[in-house]
Amino acid sequence: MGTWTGARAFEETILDASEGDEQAFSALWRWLNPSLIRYLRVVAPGESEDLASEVWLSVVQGLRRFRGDDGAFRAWAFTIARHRVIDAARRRSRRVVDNISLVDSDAPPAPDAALEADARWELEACLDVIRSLPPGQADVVALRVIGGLSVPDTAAVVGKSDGAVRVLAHRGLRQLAEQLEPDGSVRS
Amino acid sequence: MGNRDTDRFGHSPSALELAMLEWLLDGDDPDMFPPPWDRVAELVSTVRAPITFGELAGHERALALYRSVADWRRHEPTRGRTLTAKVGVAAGCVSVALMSAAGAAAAVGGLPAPAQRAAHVALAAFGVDVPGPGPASPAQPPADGQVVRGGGATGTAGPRTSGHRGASDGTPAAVSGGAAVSGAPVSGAPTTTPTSGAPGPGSPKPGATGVRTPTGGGNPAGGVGSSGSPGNGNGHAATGGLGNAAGNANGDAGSNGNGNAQGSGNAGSGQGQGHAAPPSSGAVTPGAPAVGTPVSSPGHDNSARAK
Repeated sequence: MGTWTGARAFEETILDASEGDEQAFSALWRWLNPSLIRYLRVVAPGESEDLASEVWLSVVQGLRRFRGDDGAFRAWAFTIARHRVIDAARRRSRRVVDNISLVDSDAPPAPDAALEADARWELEACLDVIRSLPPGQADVVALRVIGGLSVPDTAAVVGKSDGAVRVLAHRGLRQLAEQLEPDGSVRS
Repeated sequence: MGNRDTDRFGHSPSALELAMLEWLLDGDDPDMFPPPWDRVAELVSTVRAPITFGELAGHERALALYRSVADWRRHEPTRGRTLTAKVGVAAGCVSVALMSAAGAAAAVGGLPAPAQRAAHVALAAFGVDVPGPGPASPAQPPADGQVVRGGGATGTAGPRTSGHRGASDGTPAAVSGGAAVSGAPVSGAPTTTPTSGAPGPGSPKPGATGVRTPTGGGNPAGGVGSSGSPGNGNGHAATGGLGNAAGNANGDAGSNGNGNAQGSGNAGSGQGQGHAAPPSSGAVTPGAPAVGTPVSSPGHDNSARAK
């Protein structure tokens, strides 16, 4: 989920996308958007879709200026996402949230609705567990686990040192281990 | 839970445990982790699971957003080029203006000494003489009638001379027509065209390219512009653009200052520094209309110094 899985080389895909190639952009979107949405569900529940759109808008606008590999691209996108989350928190009190959900608007039909529902339910439960962590730990764990970012990239995104990121991740994961029951349910 | 670096069993994280957490975060197989980390490993595996179909929602909308930005971008290069062109033109105009100003300042020796020296040396390579940073200040004419060649802002080479010295009543206020005559010889026959004949009192006559405007008191006597008349040496000829023309009318008649300097200190001061010739045969007494053809006395000829 972290490394590039596209058919063409990442650098080529980025270049094509920056020059208007929709196929290249679609490849980027399919690769990054799921983890982006999941991260946003952890740190900004209820606004993840809107924030994801804002993130992609920023990404598209900055594609020509981007230089780097797939890891740098993920770190860049998650940095934008985190900034959007902070902005959203600042304006949350006075903002009328558009609750139009992208998830249900144009989602393609799932081949097996039951399996799809189970997968989504299980995913949502795991995201809820991570969301239950203290904000700092949840942020770092989500970036590392969901975003697939390395320690240095995570540190750059959250503006902390590598050591601080390791400590936060360790504490968060250990707290998760203490909360989870053997069957995967959350200890009440 | 006093120490948050210990778990509920009071264990401090060991290096092995920290390494294991890194493996866990890397998404390794949950079965390889001992309890309770196996459950965390399963959670990590779940949240890293392949995308669901629901997560593909928004693809069309994202593409629409991408298209809108791409459409906007199509106009961006044009605007960018236009802006770049405008900036380039503006920068070019400013550069030309600055270079012109610098050239003009260098031509009259108005630059600071180091800059003037540099301009003197640099332009000399192109055959353009500009005054060096010598003792003669820009406002001072060359002391000994040296011909100062060099162009003005337009790069015209040659002495700036008037040849239209207008002798006034000792108060050089005449505006000597100061056409820069390029290619004037340093010595020998002047190439200036004496045009200042015998101006009437108070009646300014146009010079070659300028207008002599007597403003001094009394009747401005039009100095006969026979400066550097043939056979009279070159002392008068091609006087330097800094007002070093030898006086020939009434001794202190203003030569052209800078070719077109109006009553600038060049004229009078230049004469005062040894160029002023006493009234010669053609001297014009102050206030009296010039008559005859004043010819510089040999004794005051600058030709030798001009050489």
